[in-house]
Amino acid sequence: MPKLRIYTTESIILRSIPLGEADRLLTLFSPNLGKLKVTARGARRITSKLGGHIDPLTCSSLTIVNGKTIDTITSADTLDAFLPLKNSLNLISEGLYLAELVDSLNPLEAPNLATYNLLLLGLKQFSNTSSPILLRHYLEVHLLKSSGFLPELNVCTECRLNLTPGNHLFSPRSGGTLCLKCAGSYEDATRISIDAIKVIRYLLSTTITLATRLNVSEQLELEITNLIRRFLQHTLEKEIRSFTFLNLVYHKKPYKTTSSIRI
Amino acid sequence: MIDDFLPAAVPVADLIRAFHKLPGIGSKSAQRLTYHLVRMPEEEARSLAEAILNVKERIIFCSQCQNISEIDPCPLCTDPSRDRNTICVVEEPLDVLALERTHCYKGLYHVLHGAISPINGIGPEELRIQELLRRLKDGSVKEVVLATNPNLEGEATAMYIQRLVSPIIATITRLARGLPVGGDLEYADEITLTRAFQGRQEF
Repeated sequence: MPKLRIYTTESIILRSIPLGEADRLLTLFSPNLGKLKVTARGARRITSKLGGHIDPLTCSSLTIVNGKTIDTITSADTLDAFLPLKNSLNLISEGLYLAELVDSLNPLEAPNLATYNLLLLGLKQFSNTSSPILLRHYLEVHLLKSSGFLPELNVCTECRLNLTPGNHLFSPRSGGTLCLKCAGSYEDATRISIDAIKVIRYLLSTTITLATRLNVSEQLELEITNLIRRFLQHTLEKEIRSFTFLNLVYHKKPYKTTSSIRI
Repeated sequence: MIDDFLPAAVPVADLIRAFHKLPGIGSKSAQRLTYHLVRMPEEEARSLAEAILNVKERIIFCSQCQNISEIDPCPLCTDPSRDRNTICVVEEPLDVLALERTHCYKGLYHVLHGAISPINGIGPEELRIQELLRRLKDGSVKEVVLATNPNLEGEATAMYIQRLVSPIIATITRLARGLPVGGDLEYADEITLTRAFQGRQEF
């Protein structure tokens, strides 16, 4: 959709970096325009009318002027500041991770309403859930699905035959699960429990409310965390940097992968 | 874009490239600054070059507050009139200057040199947080004032430090957040207004 000279859009601020003397360079996610990069002139001044309306993890209605090289925000009005989320360090780290995931999985100016709705739902739900880790996994797999990167978890990615219990591995390079017979040429293939596959399949097929009611052991949670992290790292060809902070905030130590069993 | 400068003499093109690397300097500003220097008297240009070199050669970080200084410890840390029971934690050296201009704070400072911003690759280990914890270990400090910026990164940094410092220090305070002088209430966002209401005082 071609942009007008001046346009107004609802957006969630994903990222903000200082620019020039008092400006900010923002990465936004809009439901109808997708990911955008815009400037906010003078936003770092304490009396700026934009100030708090364009803080990361805020949903705002923005009026933006089309520029030759980059668009500029002229006015902003907060729709939802997700205040309960911003009162907890754990939830801030979850929100920042979610924002980085959306930023990394989406190219510029490619509208994706499903991703926007997931982001909005995630930021709202984090302050209401008692299972933030399951909620994170729910959002991760659905974001992978909405951006077209969902790994295959039902059949072998090589021979396309249905998986049988105990006869499966996971390889980010192959794009999902493999049977033992086909795994030979994938050096990154590691064992994955049938429970981990079942939980991810369930997260994909259920609602956010039911997903966060699931009773999952700590070990299984860690296995799913590892699996998604490895898959994201391979797909995006980079580390999700907010994950290190997330892990530090939760466990007060740097992230370590569980000893995945290589074949 | 930068290759547009190649028709210029090599030293001129080099200087344009050097200016272009500075924050907030675009290609046009870099060209303007360079041609201004070309026309500048040699004496002035030489003193500018010396000032740049002095900054790199003579400036160090104070081993106590981590602020930029010429001597270690810095004059603020050795000033006997400062209150040694209070440490104000700020993000940048410029924040120390801003607070000093108010003349209302007489304690010591600690400069973190940034704020936690995981999405931009800045984690707690990139900041001078361990140095702060070392300073607090001897028990002489009674209050830590968290004066990080009132934005998401600043809040996350303050919350993270509060977690680490709370077992050591009894009093941890945060600068009040609310309406700025000279601002209009109608433009304030809901977080600022909420905090301003929470922090209202008897009139």
